[in-house]
Amino acid sequence: MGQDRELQLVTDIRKGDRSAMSDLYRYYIGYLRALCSRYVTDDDDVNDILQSCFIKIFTSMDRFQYRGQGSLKAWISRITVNESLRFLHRNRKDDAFKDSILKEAEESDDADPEVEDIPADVLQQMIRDLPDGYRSVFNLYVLEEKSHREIAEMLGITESTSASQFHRAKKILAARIKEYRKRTNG
Amino acid sequence: MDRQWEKQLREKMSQYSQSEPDGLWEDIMHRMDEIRPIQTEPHRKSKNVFLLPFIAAAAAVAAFFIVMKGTGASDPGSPAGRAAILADAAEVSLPEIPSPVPAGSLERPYYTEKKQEERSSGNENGAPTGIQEAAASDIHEDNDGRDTHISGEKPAEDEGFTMGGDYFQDLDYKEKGRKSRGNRKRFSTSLSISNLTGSRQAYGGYGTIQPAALSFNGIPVKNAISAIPGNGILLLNRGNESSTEIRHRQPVRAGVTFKYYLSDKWGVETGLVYSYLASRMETVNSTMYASNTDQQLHYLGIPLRLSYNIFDSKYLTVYASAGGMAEKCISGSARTIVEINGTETDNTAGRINIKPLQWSVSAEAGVQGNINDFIGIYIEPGASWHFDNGSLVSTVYKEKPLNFNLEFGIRFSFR
Repeated sequence: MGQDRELQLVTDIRKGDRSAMSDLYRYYIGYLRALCSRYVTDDDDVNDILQSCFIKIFTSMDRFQYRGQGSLKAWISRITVNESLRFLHRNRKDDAFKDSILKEAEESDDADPEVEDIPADVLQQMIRDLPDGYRSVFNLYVLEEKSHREIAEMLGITESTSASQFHRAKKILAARIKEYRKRTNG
Repeated sequence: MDRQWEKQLREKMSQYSQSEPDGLWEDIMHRMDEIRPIQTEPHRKSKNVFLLPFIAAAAAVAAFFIVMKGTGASDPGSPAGRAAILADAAEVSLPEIPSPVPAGSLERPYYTEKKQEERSSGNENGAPTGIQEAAASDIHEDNDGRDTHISGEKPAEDEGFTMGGDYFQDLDYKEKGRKSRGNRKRFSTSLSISNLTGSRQAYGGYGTIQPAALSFNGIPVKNAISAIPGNGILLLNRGNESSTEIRHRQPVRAGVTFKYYLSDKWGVETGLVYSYLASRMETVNSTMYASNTDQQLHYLGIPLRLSYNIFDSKYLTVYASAGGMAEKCISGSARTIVEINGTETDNTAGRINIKPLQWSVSAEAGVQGNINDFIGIYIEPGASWHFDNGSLVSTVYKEKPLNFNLEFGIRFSFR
């Protein structure tokens, strides 16, 4: 979306223009759904979260400050991640961040996941399949570019837990990608 | 470490999107219809936060005008230079002010999620009455909320809408990769230069010049007139009006200070400050007799201040501080030149010792523009009061106990 178009949308939504809201929704819903789904695995939950995200986006638009191309997307993404984390926090299972031993992770080596030629939808599913907790850490670290320290504060875990969970998540992903290659290459 | 794969994954996923869930848009509009009437409520709260930097800046500007007034009367020296400083101050502080957004002052969702209702019937905060409170408490929760996360306490199972703060500050747009909340400054160090107002007194008669001491001994104006050096002035005088003028130039101050943050807002500051005080006393009697004494004093001081961040954002920090300083005159000298009929008849120089410490208290307000997370430039008007240290040497501290200064500096923050 062009800068002028974005600014126009922001202005119109502030005025309460429903068609502008609709435009924004149509433009970003697919991306935000994918984003939210990487944190939350249940599709109904994802829809609920997305709903509250958009309400929040529309009602607090007058506090958003447009800072050029990409700032709108960054802002609504952040709201979505926040809402997702808040949801996970409320429904957190006690063992989500326990260092459970995952066999498949232990067995594989330390190689980085080779993601370049893997289709995005396959990667999306692989991320969704990561264990609870690992998934949030992985998403925040890789996709939101947060430091382990920041993640630790966000999730109420220690820095070392964040680091070790990321490390394991990475291993799991690498292993799954290997598996996937084997399967698709015959 | 090769993190290429992270970049690739990031790029890939930022392009990836899924289909729109059925009926979601209708649900959203339905909710919007319900909440629309109360939408303007939480906004009011945030305006107060917006005003804070304005108030602080107004205070700073007011303080500055007091400085102008204070110096204008006693030091006609360089009005143009001062006007320029004022213009700079206005430039530094004004355009920045509207930009900050209250940190994380985010209203809670306006409705309770369906699932949430099923899971816990006790959590009904989605009703309109709960929203104002939630929004109001948010601003306070923002800082504290993080602390609960740091401490690693496991928050209550179902916090619903009272949960403190956001994970990101999603209403305050920040550049990607910006260290968000919780990554607070631990300490900062600043290099500064500053002036203080000078002063000037003029009175009739001769000032006390005692070559042995070579300073403006006893110059506190009331007793400065009496003694007359025994070099024949009276003969030369012949009833001409004589006058003495003491000019204390604007002291120049440079310092290194360290600030340790006790919390997000409070900090203690100390350091080492060097001050240079120069004064000149001229005694003139028409063209017959003239005596000039130049006095130079070097002070080293250790300040101790408590500071409070009134407002802190990525680009702008507004703060105030108050405290005291102990200064010691580490070196001083004076030179007196006596001219009679335009001919130099006497030229003496000597050292000045000021034993007692010079104590002062001060208050400052500062506006800091942050170039990045690490470096900021600040301007800090302040007022100080210097206590009489009982020394006989005339200094600007003694003649003008209430002093105004304008400090400029660069500050490095470490996290």
